[in-house]
Amino acid sequence: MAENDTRTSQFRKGAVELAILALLDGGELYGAEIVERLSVLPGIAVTSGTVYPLLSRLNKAGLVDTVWRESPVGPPRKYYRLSSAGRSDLDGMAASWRGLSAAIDSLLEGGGSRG
Amino acid sequence: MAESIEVREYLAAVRAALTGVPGRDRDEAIAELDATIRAEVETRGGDSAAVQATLAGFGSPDEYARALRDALVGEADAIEPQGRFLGMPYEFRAPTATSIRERMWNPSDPRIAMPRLFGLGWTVNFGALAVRLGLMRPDDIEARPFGNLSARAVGAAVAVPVATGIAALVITGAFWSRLPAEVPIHFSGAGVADDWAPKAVALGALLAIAAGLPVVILAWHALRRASRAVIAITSVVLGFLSVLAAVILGYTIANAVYGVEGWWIGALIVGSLAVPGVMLYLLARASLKAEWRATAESRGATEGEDAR
Repeated sequence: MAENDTRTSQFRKGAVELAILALLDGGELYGAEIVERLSVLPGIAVTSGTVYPLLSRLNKAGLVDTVWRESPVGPPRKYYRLSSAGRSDLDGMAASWRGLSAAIDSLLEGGGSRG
Repeated sequence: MAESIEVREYLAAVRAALTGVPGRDRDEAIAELDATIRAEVETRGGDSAAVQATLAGFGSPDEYARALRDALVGEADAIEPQGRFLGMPYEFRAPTATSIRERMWNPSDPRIAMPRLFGLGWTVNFGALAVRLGLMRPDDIEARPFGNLSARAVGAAVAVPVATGIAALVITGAFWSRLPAEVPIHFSGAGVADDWAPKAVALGALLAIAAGLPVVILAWHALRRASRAVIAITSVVLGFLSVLAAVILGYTIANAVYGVEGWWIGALIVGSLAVPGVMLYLLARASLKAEWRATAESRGATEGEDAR
């Protein structure tokens, strides 16, 4: 049971990572914007508790760069953007995601084993 | 020696793909990979076919670099406990500045209870607490955490354990002759003494923690020219231990000399946990503000040049 949970959470973590990279492909965003944009997608439904550790991981792995920018309200905000390594990772991850998703879809739609 | 050229090209490609890994770690990783490849080629016969087969086994340089980067960068090392006992995390590896920071000040991790730094159980992630209290945002982390501290800020952090240690020594010295031969070493929940030991042993042990430990560890860090960040983080832990020991020492003396007792000593002991929390918050804030100032200044400088 616990093992199953970890597997699901590992799977989800990978998906949210891909979602963050895909979101940043459209331009730089600050943390709260990333959380907001992802949290409205019902399939992903993340909270800041999931997003920030992943952003920190992606930054440490060199896939996203950060820069402080002045904010009209309050202290400077940390903006995230794709690094060149992040961009090539995004391409690779997107391709394998599409392949995987197409394969799973065809299996689920075939539904041969059920019944 | 056509084969060594192929290996060299492979190593260069891996190195180029290892973005985001500090230079020294990268050199070490490449040297290790080089040695591994050589050994593998040797066992396969040492000819060019062996080189081909070996390199094919390692996969493309990009793939290898990605796996290597994940292994090198994975912060999991510093957060994941050494093991678990009855579901409780335990840790018996010596704490490092990195493990202290990852567990006691990690704003981006929402967990307030982190695997304990040393021993069995949990430790408080004051970074998550600060985020919960609205004092920090989860990504209020500098490029190098605690990396922009001024000498003054680090001096203030060091002063906490040192001044506490000196105060403990002075108070013990002032009351020494008035203390009975045996002093309490254990109190009940109500703060009433229920076990005693010779005063040199009991107070000596507390003074060793309050005054001795900070001097020894800070002197060692000074000798090996540790970074300001490491000294500041170490001072936080020393400050906590030293305040905790001084609180117990003060209560012991007050109890033995004046008969003071009360349940509030338990609250005071728990309250000394606020010391590392406040220290970490103030240090993180100081370092963060220095980074913001540096960013604003460098931007101001570029704008000034543009205007000219």
